[in-house]
Amino acid sequence: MSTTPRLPSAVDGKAASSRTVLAHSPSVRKAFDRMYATLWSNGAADVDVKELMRLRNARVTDCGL
Amino acid sequence: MSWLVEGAGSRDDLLALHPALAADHQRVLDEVWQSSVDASIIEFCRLRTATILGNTRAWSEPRSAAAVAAGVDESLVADLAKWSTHPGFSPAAKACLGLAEQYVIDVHGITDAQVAEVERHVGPDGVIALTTALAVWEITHRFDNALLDPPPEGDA
Repeated sequence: MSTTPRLPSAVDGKAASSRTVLAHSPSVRKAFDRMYATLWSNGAADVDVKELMRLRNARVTDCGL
Repeated sequence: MSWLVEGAGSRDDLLALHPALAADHQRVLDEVWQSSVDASIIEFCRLRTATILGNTRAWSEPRSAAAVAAGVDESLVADLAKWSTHPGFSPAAKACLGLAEQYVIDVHGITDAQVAEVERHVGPDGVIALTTALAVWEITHRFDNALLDPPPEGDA
């Protein structure tokens, strides 16, 4: 896993982070954020179950975020 | 067919069980296809990651309208497995396909140089669009593999 951002920030005055790097493509980011919000706010599975799935998936894929 | 719901035979049938999510999923795909990255390259990456993840269903789907409009070369699609040595693939396509393969095989193996090479060809906005596309294709391929039977032999 990269320990430093591989793209510069797209937001003036802000350090590179997942949010500011995604801002290079605002429309893609907006659409993805919307889908992500729907995943959390809709559906039959409880939010705590979704969070457990998110954490388990992060562990399996070795995501440090 | 799907084991999840009787009568469901496609990804769209299954996504229709959750219309809000289906609409959002399609919106992300629409943005990816309309991004600054050549739609032919996006289509190459979609199909190559499908092969690596074993989603034969993806190969039986029609080409996206954006890829067709971009003039995707069907002879290159047929030779996609040979992209790394094939002279017909552009340097941009090769950089993106290399990232796509690494993304689904071992994402931690992606190097700074690899991302820099993709950025040199498609810009930082293209890197974001491409990696978002790869994320969406990966979940789409896994969704198909998990919930749908493979298409009959000959359809893939």
